[in-house]
Amino acid sequence: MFDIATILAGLGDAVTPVNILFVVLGVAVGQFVGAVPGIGPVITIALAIPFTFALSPLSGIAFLVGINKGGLVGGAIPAILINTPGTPDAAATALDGHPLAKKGRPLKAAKMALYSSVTGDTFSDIVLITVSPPLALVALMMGPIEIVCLLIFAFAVIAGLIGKSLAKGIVAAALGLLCASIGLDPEHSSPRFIFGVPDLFDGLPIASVAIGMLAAAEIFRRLAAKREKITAAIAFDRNQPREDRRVSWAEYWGCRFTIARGAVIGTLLGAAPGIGTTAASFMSYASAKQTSREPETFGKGNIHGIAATESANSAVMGANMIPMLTLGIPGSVSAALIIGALIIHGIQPGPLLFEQQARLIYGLFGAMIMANFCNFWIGLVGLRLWAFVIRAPESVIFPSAIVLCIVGVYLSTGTLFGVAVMLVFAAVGYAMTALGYSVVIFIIAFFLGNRFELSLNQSLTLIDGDFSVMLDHPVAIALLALAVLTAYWLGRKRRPANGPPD
Amino acid sequence: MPSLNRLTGAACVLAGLCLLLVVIPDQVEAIEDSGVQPATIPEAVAWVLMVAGASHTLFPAGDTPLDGPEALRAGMFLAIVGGGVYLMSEIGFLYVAPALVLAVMLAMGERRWFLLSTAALPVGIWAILELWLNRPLP
Amino acid sequence: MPRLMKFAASAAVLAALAAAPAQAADWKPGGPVTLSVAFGAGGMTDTLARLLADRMEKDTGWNIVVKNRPGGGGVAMLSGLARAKPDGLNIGIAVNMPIVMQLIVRPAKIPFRIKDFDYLGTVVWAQLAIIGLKGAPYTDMKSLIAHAKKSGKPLTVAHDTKPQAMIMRAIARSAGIKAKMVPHKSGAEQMQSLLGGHVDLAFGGGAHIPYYKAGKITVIASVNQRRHGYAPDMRTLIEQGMDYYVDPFFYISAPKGLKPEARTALAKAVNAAVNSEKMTKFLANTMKTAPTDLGPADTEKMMEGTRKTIKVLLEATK
Repeated sequence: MFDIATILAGLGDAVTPVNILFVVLGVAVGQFVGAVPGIGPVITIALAIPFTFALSPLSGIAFLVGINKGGLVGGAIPAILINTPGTPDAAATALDGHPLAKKGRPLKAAKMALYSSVTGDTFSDIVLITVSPPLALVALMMGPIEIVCLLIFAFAVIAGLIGKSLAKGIVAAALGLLCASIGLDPEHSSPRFIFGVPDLFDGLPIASVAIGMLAAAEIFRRLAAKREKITAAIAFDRNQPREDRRVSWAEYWGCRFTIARGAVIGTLLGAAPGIGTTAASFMSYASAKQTSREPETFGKGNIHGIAATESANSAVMGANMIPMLTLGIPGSVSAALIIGALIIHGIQPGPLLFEQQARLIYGLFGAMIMANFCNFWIGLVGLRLWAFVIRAPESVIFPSAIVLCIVGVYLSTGTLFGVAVMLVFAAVGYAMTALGYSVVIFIIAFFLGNRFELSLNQSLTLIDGDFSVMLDHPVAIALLALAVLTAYWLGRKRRPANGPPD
Repeated sequence: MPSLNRLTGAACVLAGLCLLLVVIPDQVEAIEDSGVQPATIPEAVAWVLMVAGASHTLFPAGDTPLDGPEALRAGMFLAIVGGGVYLMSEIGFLYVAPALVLAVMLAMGERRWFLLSTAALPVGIWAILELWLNRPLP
Repeated sequence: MPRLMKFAASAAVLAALAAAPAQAADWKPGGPVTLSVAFGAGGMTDTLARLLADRMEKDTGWNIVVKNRPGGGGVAMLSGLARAKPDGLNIGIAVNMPIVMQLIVRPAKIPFRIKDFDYLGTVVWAQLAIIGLKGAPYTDMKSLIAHAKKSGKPLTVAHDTKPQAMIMRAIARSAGIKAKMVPHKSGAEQMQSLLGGHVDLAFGGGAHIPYYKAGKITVIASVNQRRHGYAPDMRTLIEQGMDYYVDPFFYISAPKGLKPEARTALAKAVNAAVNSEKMTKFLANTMKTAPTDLGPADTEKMMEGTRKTIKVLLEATK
């Protein structure tokens, strides 16, 4: 379709010193803010957009994409080191990353996260660059009915993470859905559960709930757990053997199927907008656990758990660019911000983009590949930095972290009301964990709740009581069948475990 | 004496009932329009809460790793931070945040003066956001 | 028509300026001016606000701080603004349609009224079109209605705001056809559903323009009072015999009770920023339209007019 000269010229544009500088800067900034609890890449991109006005479109967009990619790697670091995910995408990384770190192998966990993240990201970028036109059709094929069925399938897979008590898992999901329903309803825009507070019109701020339950709740737990001597937040043993500090090729290669599955799940969910990185990483994690020969080691520091989540959440980002560039449909909040930036720079995403701006797009692709290399090298250097920072006493780490959470939520929501909501959900998160209700299930239901309700309403309107309409939607039927199969399979796996009462 | 685990199930039943009978009629509008009612999902949630809660009350599973004293201390820290956030809305981030860091550190039992200098961190954050990025903090 | 509007707008501004006392130019804010945005960071309103603030700072030397205050399509921001002091240090940018809609449908839950604000001006009106897929057996309202009557199947229509749904219902009712309204979250999602063949019609608020240029969709009608610059031969709904329209305006207001000189100075600064070269270029690039500042008096009239428009729509769909 395009002559090779345009492609080469575009790639050539990418490697000018200025662009390289901004890619490196973007990735470094992204990793930093991703790793700082409370402040994520989304709010950083929003803050950085005005600065890109002064740059050329390519440098500016490359900078923003760099922040986004860096943030996905950075978010895993605090998840592993102190069990407070820097971004919600890394919530699943904490499940195995932190136990491994507690076993005294934090560097191994963080490196596994970095390698699988870069691998997943590179995979989805290659998919984006080579086959985005056919994959753009995936986004178009996914109408409301298909999205509902996809969400049901996602719920069925993630249900594998429900622990010992099915009833408690269902309660957690129901509560998440309930919290998602606060605010204007999707069909009539009538306010629900507002209690006279205008701040609730748009629902509970996602940043407040996510940071409150995932990061702040854990910070409060750690603050409260401290009773005797104040020590470092996590123990590092300087004399530990080399193999405990690095990931060997054999270990990486051993995870190849896990990483590949994560990358494919992430890429597909990224190409079909609406599901998002967090759910993708949990789906990948759940399927890695279910298909593992030793599922009981998951949650106790299995590197497959880290590989599954990090490859999936990073793969979403590259694939998110497919509907974003070809159709102008954002698959995530950060993608929406980047679309805004593109438009300000006079670039209109959509059907004409590849024809009118081919050189720029190939420049951007070049920058993305470059950003992946940067992510890898800056990540390796950054790990040492964070490992150094985290040696500070807990009495420095956690009070600082709580202030950063306040600042981050204030920046994202623009009000102290948002900060108050964060504190409320820190308490809710603490209580749920203490009473054995899964915070993770709650968060996923909360994240997907709005999309689920909207798509369900759309589908019910389209079906209008005549379910023969479903026959025109083979993809939806296939997804539903998969969901039923998954549920059946999970049910069979549960039974022997539940059989003898303990 | 029913276990705490069972009690949480009963609480869910109660919450679902309360939602269905009091909160939803009061806080969700009924629309005389075609289409899906706004109360559909909340009502479904209420029923699920009641059914799952009842089943959990009868057949409890899982555990409740609640640590009473720890929860009380967590509540204390939450109160300190909550108070700090309230004061921020009255006085401003620049003055309250360093005091908040100091208060949390002291409550943790930290007494080493060179570490207490962490209280300067919010000033740095304030300078970056307010002076450099021109983003107002409370 | 647009030329006339622009003329009226600048005339209004001039009149306001001429009427103002001489000390108007001397008014200076006693601190940084906060421009609150009714929507989150990164959206259209946010971008407009930042461009305005940038220009106003450079023109006047005042310190202008942009603050996002999303919630309820502007209800949250205006609730705060209505309570703020009318000292000229608090102004806000919002969109008229969602606000007026909430004010009419559930006044008891909204803590402010249209007259609780001093209006300073508008930035631009948003173009809204009813669009269909290229190759569909309808290209205007007449062929659309004929097609719907012949097929007997209800039309499926994507929309992302209540007034859009009301317009389509009003049309369906007066033409005696059936329409199923499918709610969406944004213009981009409507495009996705339309292009994927999941709905028959959608509303385009700008996201559709590149698809129109690429020849993938047809514009069936302009839903504004005027035709659109990018498709000047596509008639409005009114021209096609259906007396409904909406005109979404991005407007700027302050709490009621500004000193006249403060109001004049602010309106003048807004007007200069709206008509600046950068804003003109930006709007031409993105919305394919030109800036429109109605000025203080006509902005207030526009808000009252919006109330009437929505009342008419509500009556027609009762």
